[in-house]
Amino acid sequence: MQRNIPLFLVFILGIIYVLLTFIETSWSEGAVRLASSWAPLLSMWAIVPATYVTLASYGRRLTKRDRNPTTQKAILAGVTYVAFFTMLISGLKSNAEGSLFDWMFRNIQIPVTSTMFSLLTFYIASAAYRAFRVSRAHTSLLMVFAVLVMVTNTGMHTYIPFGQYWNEFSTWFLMTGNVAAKRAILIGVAVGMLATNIRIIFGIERSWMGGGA
Amino acid sequence: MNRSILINVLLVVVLPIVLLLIFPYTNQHAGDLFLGFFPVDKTVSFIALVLLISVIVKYAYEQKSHASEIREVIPRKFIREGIGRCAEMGRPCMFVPGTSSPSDVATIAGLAIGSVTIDEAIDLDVFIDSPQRDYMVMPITKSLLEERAMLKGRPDYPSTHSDVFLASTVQFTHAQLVAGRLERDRHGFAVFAGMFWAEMLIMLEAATMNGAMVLSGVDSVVQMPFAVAASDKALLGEELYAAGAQLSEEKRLVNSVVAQDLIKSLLFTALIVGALATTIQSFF
Repeated sequence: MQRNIPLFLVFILGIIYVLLTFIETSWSEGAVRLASSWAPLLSMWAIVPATYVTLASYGRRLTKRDRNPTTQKAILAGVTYVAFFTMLISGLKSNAEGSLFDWMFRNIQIPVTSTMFSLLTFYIASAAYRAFRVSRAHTSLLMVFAVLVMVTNTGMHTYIPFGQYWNEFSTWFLMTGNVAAKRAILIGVAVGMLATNIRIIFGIERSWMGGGA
Repeated sequence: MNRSILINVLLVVVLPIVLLLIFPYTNQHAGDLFLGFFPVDKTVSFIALVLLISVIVKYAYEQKSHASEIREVIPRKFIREGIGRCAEMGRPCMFVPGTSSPSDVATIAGLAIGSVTIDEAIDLDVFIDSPQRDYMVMPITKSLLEERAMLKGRPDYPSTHSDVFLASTVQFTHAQLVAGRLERDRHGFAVFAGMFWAEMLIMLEAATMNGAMVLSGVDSVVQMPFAVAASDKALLGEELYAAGAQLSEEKRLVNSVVAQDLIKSLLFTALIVGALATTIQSFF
């Protein structure tokens, strides 16, 4: 019963939502708008247990009741607690420009996030090195085309013999070969998404709610 | 095989004729309403959807199993090996069901793969670490874990062997936390399946560099090269959607994947017929 009610709701609401896509009347558009406006409401309710679970998880680390307790983890959990409550209290007090909340957001949150983003370059280099190091036919082919595209995109082809042809081939490869492969993948993804949606609506796929088929 | 070819040919030939008979001036009247509410320009989409639903539901509820008709996207043995590795080394397993909301189907597909991973983890008493980015996905993952534990007769498992929590709703803060955990706890197996953006590579690389066996699943074309480069097994595109069904080894789910393939072959046939028709038309 506990599992049948959500499955029934998913079926009914899924079918209604699909039909509303194919019905163009003022009331159908209103119904879609109403259903969409409920989503933020659900999100607002979900944030309460999420915050509680997160604080409980860090609490276990702070009090060294977790799986593999270490002082380093406890300190990190303590920092998280301080950061969380500082942001919460300052945000409740004021989130206007120039407030403590705003200052912390601009001077701590944004630089930390930007630092992580900039680290991505090194991760790309590291992953690419590992991929190219493996000497298999398709990785060698991948490397040849990667070098070709890099050379032409950086403008280095102007300094090498037959550079113009390299450039033309690279452009053709990106605009034709690459796009064709991308479209093939996208068609597969679209069919897969649709099929998964249908499986969920008709209750064939139940693994997302813990049960088998 | 013969039956699928026959169905394809019939649909490709019959479908345009049926469309022409029902809506003879579809293109000229695009945007008009049929019976006062049905947009004529959506006819093809509607018929395609009905067809898709019919084929999937028909195959799913067939008595016969079509498991032998499809290739193995990912062997269950791979997940068993990953979890076994965690058990032998006494390390936890990381599971991230993407960084998007449940409205992304990829998230649900990621959870289906997670369901199998959780099953294996429960069998071998492996700790599941699951930092989440979306506060709607977090309770779903938590209840998935509780359901699987209950079905396996281990109601204590979620409280003693798992840590499912909201890491951060900010993209790179979440990636930072996952990378940090992978560095500190040295996970034996890491599963990243769902919708990811640029942060995916940070997590995959952190897992690989810390010696974890990595399984990734992504449907974003932009992230696919990173998944291939930085993981031991990558599920690309539609494989992500088929993997959960195939791993579950449930007849209905496996049959629905076969139906999915049949629809794809139908699309492929329609594309070739369309391309040929356009080419021939250009000569007249």
